Amino acid sequence: MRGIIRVKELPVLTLCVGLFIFFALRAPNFTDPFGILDDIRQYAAYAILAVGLTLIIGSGGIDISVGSVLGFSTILMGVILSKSAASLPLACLAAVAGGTAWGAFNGLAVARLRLQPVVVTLSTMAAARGIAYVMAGQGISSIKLPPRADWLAGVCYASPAPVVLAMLVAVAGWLALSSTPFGRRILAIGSNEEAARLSGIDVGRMKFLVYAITGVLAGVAGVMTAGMMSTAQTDAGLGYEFEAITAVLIGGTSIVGGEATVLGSVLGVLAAALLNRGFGLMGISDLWRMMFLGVTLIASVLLDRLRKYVALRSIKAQRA
Amino acid sequence: MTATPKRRISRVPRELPIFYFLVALCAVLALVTRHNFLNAGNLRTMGTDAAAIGIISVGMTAVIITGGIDLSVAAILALSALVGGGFISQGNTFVGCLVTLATGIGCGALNGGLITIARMPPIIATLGTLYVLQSAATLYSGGQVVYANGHLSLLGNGFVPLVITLVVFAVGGAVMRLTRMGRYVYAIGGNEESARLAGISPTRVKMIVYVASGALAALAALVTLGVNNTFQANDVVGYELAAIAAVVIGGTSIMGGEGSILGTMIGVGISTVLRNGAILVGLDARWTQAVIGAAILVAVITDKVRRR
Repeated sequence: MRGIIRVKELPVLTLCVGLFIFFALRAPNFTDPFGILDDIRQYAAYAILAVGLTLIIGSGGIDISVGSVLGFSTILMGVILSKSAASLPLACLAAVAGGTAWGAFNGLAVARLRLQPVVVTLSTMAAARGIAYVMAGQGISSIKLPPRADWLAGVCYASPAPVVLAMLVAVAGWLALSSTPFGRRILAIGSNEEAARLSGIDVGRMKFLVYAITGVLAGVAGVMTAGMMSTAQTDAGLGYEFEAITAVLIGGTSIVGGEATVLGSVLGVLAAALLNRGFGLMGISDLWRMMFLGVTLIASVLLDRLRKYVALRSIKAQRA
Repeated sequence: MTATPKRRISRVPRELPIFYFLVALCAVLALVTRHNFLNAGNLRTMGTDAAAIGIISVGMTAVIITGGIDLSVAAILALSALVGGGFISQGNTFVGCLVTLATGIGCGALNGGLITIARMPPIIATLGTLYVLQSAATLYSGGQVVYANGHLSLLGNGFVPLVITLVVFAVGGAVMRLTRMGRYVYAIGGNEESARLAGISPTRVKMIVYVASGALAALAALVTLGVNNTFQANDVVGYELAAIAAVVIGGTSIMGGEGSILGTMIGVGISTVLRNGAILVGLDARWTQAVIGAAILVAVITDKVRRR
């Protein structure tokens, strides 16, 4: 029993299964596979952001700029496609590069200037969104993508490609975190930065990398978001940072760093997607979903404390 | 044995650089826009504009100095405005104001309880209550607009919002600077464990700080109702980040233990003048968001450099 309670992903897995069973019984057409796939696809961008955030939170940091960076790269792509003759791949590349630049900036400010992650990413959150507004132009809130972007729209809108891509990112993140020196170093930094430094880990470089990687992922999510809507919107990604962080924390990653699970984060996003679909089909307001997420967030942290308490007690019992 | 040279303690107030920045900003605007900037009408506009964010920034400063954060203030503002606004619109102004304040205090106590009794990290506890309270606000009002029907116009007229804001800043500044409670707040932010060993109860002080933050959010709700005469659940979304930005621009350390209400006041001033100036100059108002982002970064880097 105590062994089971120590599995980090157990609460969120229970939540997903519980939600699935509940909605399968209560919500009409909930189990329609195409419908589920369609709804999950809308959450692919969240999942991609959540993977990056898992690495950052695992290292003891935080990034609240991901939603704005997503919006920035979406608009960058829209502006390039609509105002120049650049080809689609080039525009996508530029958008990802734009996201990477913001991530790298965050990383430099946190790792080199040793500024607090909350403050740095608060400022880039405001700045990236502001520049996105300005790039779009006065009074313009959405840019229709030109016909040469139809291929992207087709892939993102009418195929499971976003889900596949999100899963690939998740698997890569999971492998990196659980079975590479990179992942072990990140978690080492998250649990005790000074000890990590003393054991020879280049803390600055690792921190820079996690923020830069998250920037790349936010750029990719931005391209995907533009493709799904076939327009680039200045408000794309608005508030995504809160939902993605919530998914990560519900998934069992510890806010103080040192413990992280990509699988848990992806399950957290899945729970949000199931909740969205189920409440939508039952005709329940979106607000109840937000409220449910808030309560779940608080409950999951309380549960995490309980888990640690039980673990600590069993260690003490063994010693005694 | 030679004594090590004493490090000269700088007597220059740490708020001075940003104060100069604010003055310079105003001077430039006064020159560029002639009397469009420096006149009673525009001053009133700015005062009204700054009121709600200014009032919640005072509570936010105290919260951040304890080493915490309160992401839920805007949601508290919305919920208390809507719950109390219902009474106010029917003419029960006094009861409505009490209900508004009680809602704010209750929400603040909820945050305080989660953070002190359940020992949750403030950023998560208040992120959770942000969701819960914001959705509660929208559900409670059914997305409808609440009308104050002029019952609170006293709070929104002329320079009244600015005066209320300045009074809140003055009281907040005095409490933080002159009272034992204020010193406890700094002590806990500086080193919670040593504060506890010195006999200060972190639980009690934090509880008071989060309750104060909730109460101030409710006061801001009343002023907003007075100014706009209407309120909708989504009106103040994002105010928490504006307040945090003002606090950080004002030189308060996000790590806790350092900062001042005066700095926050200047920070609120800078963001208000920037917004107002952008409109007067005819700049796309949305530039201000980018500029505020940059201002936060400049403030933090200056602080870092100053300390070396």
